Amino acid sequence: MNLYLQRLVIDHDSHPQQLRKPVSFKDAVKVHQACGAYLFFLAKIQQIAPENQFEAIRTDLFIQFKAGLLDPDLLHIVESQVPANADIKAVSAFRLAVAKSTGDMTYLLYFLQHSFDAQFESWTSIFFPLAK
Amino acid sequence: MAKAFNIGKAESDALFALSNDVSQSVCAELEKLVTTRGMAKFLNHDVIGKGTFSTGWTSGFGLAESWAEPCTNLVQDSTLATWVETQFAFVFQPKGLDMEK
Repeated sequence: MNLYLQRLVIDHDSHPQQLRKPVSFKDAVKVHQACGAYLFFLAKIQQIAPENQFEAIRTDLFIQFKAGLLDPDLLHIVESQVPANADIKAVSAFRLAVAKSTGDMTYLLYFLQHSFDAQFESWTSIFFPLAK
Repeated sequence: MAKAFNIGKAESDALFALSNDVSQSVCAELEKLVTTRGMAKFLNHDVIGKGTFSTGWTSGFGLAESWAEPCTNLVQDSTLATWVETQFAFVFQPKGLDMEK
């Protein structure tokens, strides 16, 4: 529940003051579902990841989750799949985590070069102009 | 409760939830957040009144019904969120924006 509360705070604080508006019940439910699904998949990754690598994987995923980048995929899964058969690779960011966990180097390199960097470059380009 | 305190239904539902269903740690955290950010710009009363912070509440309904269990509020607080806040607070605090206001 704490994660849900933190996400509400982060979402609120990430908006400029004049654009902030109170969270509605409908939006809160979406955030809550995303948090639930995120923790569900994080537990799955923890089961397959080597113990010494899990912290780094979790760090990467948290950065993306905090920014709301995982929400569309997570919410799509929540509405279209059941937990027992949920496909962890349906969330693009988790594919990298699974690749790291299972040591699939082909997958890992592909995502390092194409997906992961591209995501962060796009966010950097959004935030850096504000910083100048 | 709404009549007793002369408040609206949404407010009274929120008050009822806070006094009966929400854990003390979450109540304290909400109080702190609302004090610094203001209720009007942070949360609708519905969000509290309909139970999203209540222990045992689940967002797994409608199309997400099968996710009721993973999406249920537990009593235990997750340490993950606190960890996130300390480690990655910079992510949403670019220079040039006063995030404290």
